[in-house]
Amino acid sequence: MSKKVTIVVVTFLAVAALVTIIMLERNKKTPNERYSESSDTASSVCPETSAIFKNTNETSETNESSVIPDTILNTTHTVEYEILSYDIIEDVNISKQNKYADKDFYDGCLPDPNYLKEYTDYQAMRNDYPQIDEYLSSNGEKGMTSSEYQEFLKKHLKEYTTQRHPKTKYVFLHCRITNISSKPVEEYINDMRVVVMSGGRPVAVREINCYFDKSQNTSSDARTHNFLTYNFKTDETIECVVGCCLEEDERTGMSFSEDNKFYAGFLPIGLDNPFQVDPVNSKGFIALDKIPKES
Amino acid sequence: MKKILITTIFATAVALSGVLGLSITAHAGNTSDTQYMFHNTGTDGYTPGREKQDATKVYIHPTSGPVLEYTVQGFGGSTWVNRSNSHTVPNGAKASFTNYVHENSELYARLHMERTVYANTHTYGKWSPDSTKNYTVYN
Repeated sequence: MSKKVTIVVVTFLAVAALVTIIMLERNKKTPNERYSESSDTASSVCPETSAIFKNTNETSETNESSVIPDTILNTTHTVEYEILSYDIIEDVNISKQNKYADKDFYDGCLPDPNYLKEYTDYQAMRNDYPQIDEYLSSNGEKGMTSSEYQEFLKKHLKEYTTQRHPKTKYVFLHCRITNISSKPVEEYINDMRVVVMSGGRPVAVREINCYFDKSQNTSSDARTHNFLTYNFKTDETIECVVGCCLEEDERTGMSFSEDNKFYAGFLPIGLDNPFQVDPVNSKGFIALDKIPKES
Repeated sequence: MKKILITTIFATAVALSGVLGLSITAHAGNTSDTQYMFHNTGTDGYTPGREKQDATKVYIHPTSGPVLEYTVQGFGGSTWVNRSNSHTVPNGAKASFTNYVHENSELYARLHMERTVYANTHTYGKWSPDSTKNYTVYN
């Protein structure tokens, strides 16, 4: 390759990169800008969303499509949840949207639409190494020591681990949450579950796990543990959006299809098997298709 | 010259991937706390099952009430099985329980709690199935 061609190619790539960076930086908006922009847009562009607010405040008006369903109570019956509307966004669109601010995601940034999840085939590892099987079956009491196990993982874990992007959807719930007890309450928003039914059975039972726009705990350690915890004052009501990340998972039969029905609510106290939940007949759950969907 | 060309192409790709947000990230585990409580007139009890997403330690933080003995259990689809050794944890301690729930391909974890003294009062605490760092490790 001639010297001239190389110089031209290098120069072209450098200029192209520079132009791209400048263009992207010019269009860059802070999370607050995006958030306030989305609030403005919601009031002017989404008539359905506006109607939800109206009908929520004037429940006596009988527009059947936007009748607010029964509220649900948390498991200690101290906090009441009213789900006003919901929204579902696919992974490929999550970074394009500007309705849900990046600062309000659990990780403090918008989810990567192509994020990779690690899957380790522990069964294959155990088949290949009987001493590992013995160690894991005995909760670390037999087969090897804890440090030997850690050394083994350092050497061999990668051989049994693959990465792939699971198809993902983000479910957002617009809620009005009220402390109905007569004293302050520490509420764990992640006690609420989103259940996906398919073929008449639950295929996903997931906690609210990825979004809360009224978090009181956003510094590093507090964020890790308590991003989804809210300290209610007596009689306090908040209106907020909470979110749940749902991934396809062949282990539970969870795959996205037209057949999926989504529910939000609380597991009954004492339920032994999470997949025995019956959101269709349980008073602790609300079917999302019975409440308005945001456009 | 060839070296410069390769270096430039690589540097351009890296710079653009960073700007365009194409970086590969892993999702955090289920590290948000929820509260548990146990009434010490009963001999034992359980927290609700929560999703276990990785092989990290289970975080347990008792806040008040009589001390309990904790065991992490995993749910594989039919029954709950002990996946850690049992330990008592004092109030105020932040415990990281070594467990083998994820390694046994189980999707859910919960705490089995056993009273150490009979008392007509509750024990309260917080826990999460996954963690981002280790506190006091209980093997």
